[in-house]
Amino acid sequence: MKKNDCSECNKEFPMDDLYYYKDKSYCSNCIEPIINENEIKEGDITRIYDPTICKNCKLDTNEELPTLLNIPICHNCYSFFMNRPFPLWIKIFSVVVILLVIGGLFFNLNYFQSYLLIKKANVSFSNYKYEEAYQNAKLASEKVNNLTSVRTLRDLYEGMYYFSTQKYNEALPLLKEYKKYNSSDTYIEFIIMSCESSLAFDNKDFQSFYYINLNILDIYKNDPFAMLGAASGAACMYATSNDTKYKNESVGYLKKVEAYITPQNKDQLMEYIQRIKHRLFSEKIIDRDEYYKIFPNGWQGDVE
Amino acid sequence: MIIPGIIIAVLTFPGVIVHEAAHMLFCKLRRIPVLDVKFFQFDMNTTGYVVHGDPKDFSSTFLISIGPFFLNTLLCVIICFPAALPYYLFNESNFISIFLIWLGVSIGMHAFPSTQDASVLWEKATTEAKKFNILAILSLPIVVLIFIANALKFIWFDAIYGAFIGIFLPGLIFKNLL
Repeated sequence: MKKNDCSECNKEFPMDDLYYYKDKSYCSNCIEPIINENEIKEGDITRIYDPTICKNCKLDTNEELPTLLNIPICHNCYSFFMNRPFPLWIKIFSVVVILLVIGGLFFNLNYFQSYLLIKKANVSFSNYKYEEAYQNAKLASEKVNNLTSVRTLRDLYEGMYYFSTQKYNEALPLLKEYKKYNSSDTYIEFIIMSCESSLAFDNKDFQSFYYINLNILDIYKNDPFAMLGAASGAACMYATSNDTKYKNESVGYLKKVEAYITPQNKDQLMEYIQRIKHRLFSEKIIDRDEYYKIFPNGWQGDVE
Repeated sequence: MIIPGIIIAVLTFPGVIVHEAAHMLFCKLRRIPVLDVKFFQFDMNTTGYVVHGDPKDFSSTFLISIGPFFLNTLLCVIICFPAALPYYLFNESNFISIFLIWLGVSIGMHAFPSTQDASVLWEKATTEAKKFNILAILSLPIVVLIFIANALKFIWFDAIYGAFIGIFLPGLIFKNLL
C-alpha cells in the first residue's frame, strides 16, 4: 500500500483515500470545503488510485499493477476481465433461444412443405390429374395437422377424384364438406348437383334425377351440359311414364343445345345427345357402360 | 401515447439481453477486457450496459458499437421468417409462431446502438477519418443514421424497425418469391 500526504492538513493517508484537485492531493475532510466554496465541474476532482492495490479484488501488492481504464487491476482480475465468461443464465438463455429457433424452424417447415405440396396438387388438378392432386393434397394436409383450409382442399381433390371415377357416394360428402367452407365456389355447387344427379340415376330415382337437373339448368341457364342434363332427366321421365310432354320437353332442350355446339365441345355433346336420343327412341333407360356394350360406335339413329 | 422506456424494455427484455450480449461477444472476439456487464436491470435510465476497456483499433470500436445491430437484426430475421410462414401461407397463427414473432421482434427492436454507443463511435471515427481510415469514413454516415434512429424512438422507430424486418419483410419476400 502506498501512502501520500494531504496537501492541506499534511497528514498521511492511504493513496486510495485521497482526492486530486488542481495538481494537489486532499483527504476527504479537506476536499469538502473546496467543493463547497468553488464551482466544481465534473472531472475537476478525481480519485487517486493506489497503483499497488487492485481496485477490483482489493489485493494489496507491493508492485505497480497494470491499469484498465486508468484503474489498477491485479493480474488475476485482468485475466478474468480479458476472458470474462458469459454467465450461466445467459448460456441457458442462448440455448433456449437456439432450441426455440430450431424447433420453430422444424415446426414451421411443415407449413412450407405443405405449401409446396399444395402448389403441386393445384398443377395436377388443373391438368385433370385428380388422383395425383388428391395424394399431394392429402400429404399437404397431414403436414399441417389437417389445418381447415388445407383439409378442405384435400376434400375437394379427393371428392373430384371420386367424382371422376364415378364413385358418387364417396365424392358427395367430401365435396359438401369443401363447400361448407367455400360457399362462394359456384363451380363446386355445379359438381355437387351433378353428383346428386348421378346418384339419383344410379339409384333409379328418375324423378329426383329429373328435378335435380332442372335445378342445375335453372342456375346454369346457358350451359349446354346443364341443358343436356335436363334433356336426359326428361327422357328418363318419358321412358318411365310414357308421358309425351316429357319427350317434347327433352327434344326441346336437345334443339336448344344445337346453338351451343362448337368444334371444341362437339364430340362430347354429340355423344351425350345420341345417348339421350336413344333413350327417347327406345324408351329404355340404360347406363353409359351398357349403352356402349350394345352400340360400341354409338347409336346412329334420330328422334322426331 | 408515451410509454416509459422501462416498460417497453421489460416487455421486450430478450432484445435488451441480446443487445448487451452482442456488445460483450464482440469485446471477447476482439480481445477487449470486459470490466462490468449488466444484461438487464430495472432502471429508468439504463436497462443494460457493458463496461469495457479501450479498443486497440478502430475496427474493434466499430464492431463493439455496431455489433448488436448486426446480431439483433440477424437473429430477428432468423427467428421471424419461419414463424411468419403459417400466417403468410395459410393465414394461420399458432401459439408457437406468435411467441417466436414476439421474441424476434423484441430482439429486432433493440438492434440500434444507443446514443452513447454512437457518441463513442463518432468520436473515434472523426479522429480516424482524419487519418484516412476507410472504415472510419464509411462509418460516419452510419453513426448519423444511428443518431437519427435514436432521436426517432419517440415515434416508435425502433419498434417499427423490429416489426418491419420481423413481420413485413417476410411477407414481402413470400409474396414475391412464392
